[in-house]
Amino acid sequence: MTVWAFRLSTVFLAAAIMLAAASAQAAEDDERRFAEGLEAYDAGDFETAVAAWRPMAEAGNLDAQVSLAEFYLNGLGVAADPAVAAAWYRRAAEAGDPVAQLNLGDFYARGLGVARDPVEAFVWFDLAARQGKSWAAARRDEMAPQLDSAQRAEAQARSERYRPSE
Amino acid sequence: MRRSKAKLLSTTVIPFVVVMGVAVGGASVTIQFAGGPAYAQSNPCNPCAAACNPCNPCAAACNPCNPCAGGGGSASLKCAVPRLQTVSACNPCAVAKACSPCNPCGACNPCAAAACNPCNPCAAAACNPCNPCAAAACNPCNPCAAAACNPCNPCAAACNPCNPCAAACNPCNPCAAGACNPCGACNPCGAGGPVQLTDAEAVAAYDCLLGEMKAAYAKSDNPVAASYSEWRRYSKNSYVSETHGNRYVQNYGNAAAKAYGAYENAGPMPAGAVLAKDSFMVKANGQVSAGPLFIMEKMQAGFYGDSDDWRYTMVMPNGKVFGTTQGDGSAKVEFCIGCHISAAPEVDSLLLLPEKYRVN
Repeated sequence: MTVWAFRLSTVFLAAAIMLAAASAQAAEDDERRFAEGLEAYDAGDFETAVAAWRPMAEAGNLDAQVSLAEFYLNGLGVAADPAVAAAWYRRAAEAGDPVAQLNLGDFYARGLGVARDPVEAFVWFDLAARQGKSWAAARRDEMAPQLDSAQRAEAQARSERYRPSE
Repeated sequence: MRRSKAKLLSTTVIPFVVVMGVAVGGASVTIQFAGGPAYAQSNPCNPCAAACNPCNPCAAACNPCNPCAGGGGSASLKCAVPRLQTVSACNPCAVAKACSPCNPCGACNPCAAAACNPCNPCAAAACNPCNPCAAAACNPCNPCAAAACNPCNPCAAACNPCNPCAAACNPCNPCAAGACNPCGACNPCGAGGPVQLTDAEAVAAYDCLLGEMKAAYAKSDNPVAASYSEWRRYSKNSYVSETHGNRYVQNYGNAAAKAYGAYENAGPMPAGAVLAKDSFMVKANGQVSAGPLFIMEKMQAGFYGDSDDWRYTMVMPNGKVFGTTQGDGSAKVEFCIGCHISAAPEVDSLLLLPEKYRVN
């Protein structure tokens, strides 16, 4: 029984090590692909950057999602579409990316790609501020006087309830 | 035995199940993403937005280079370059490579002709009744719609030598090289290289855009982003930097970087010297938008030999900082080193600006 148990534990341990190695390799590949996209962006080759980042964004890479949002906002390598930019920011913001959160708050504050909504803006600024983003904290504090007490309570409650989507 | 079995379970099987569970579970997590990013054109009045018309060189929804596609965005309208706006508003094909013999904006091209040609499907305003792409399919003036026997329909007769959409093998045919590839070398509607501004236009665009750029970079909370524009500026006005994606840039340096003003004779920069380049992009239609803020900081000796002790940071205009040399995401900005290190050793990794733009 002891021998059987030892063999079983060895198999499991090997599997766990292989899993961890595969995961590390995937992260390394992701970083390399992202760097390729960033180099293309730096060089002004937006189509190549989009080609590198879109599959990553669709697979859940937050940096790629935030980048694609910027591309859609300004029409870099894609047709400009603030609504699509907002959708990508939302996806990354819901997953907890603070830059996506503050930009989504900015979109709601300005009515860019979404209907203007001071409560939504407050919520996303607040969430980014809670992650240490001073710019977002300043915008949230500017936004506060625009909300009545019920709206402010609602915004704060939503911010409290927020949990990253993954 | 039972106890040892339990111990075995707790030390091997259970952790493994947990690891596998996390892995499988993590892989299966999906975000409910209402609709996902739609690639549809947002402007229903855009005559060029019509879905996937294979004969419309401006149509393809997936055409990222289509100057007619989409519209909107945050590219600063108030800072747009008027000359380019005027040209592109009337004829988006005319902006680049106007004299190319392959240019479908030539006389045979129904999309081109003179600026503001009312029959030009690319030019007309969204509600222009003369816009042949906007009209109903039975509009006899609609070159994209009419029946094959319409001699004016450039999409019809395959043998019509004036039909830019006809010969699939025609390398100059913007429809031929793949509907989604308007950027082909033969496509005169594709980007024809960087948009050139006059110095006066560059000054006007920069002065107009500076506030917007500072606001954009400030989202990063990077201290340089907050202060760089108060530093000494070493460029007379914005100039095209080929090493920064052909963007228009300006060069700033903090007090510790004052030797930068000696350019080729500056010698090694002292620790604490910080150089910052803000940047903007210009589209063929005259729209301008903020590009990244490029920062290089000279660190103490021994910081990182591969970079000559420079620390590079790129701040995106949405406040994202993807990497900092020897910090978070260092590998992502390694290419900055690869480029700057190619500078002559005596100029300490500095890629100096053209002489005509230098402030002395």
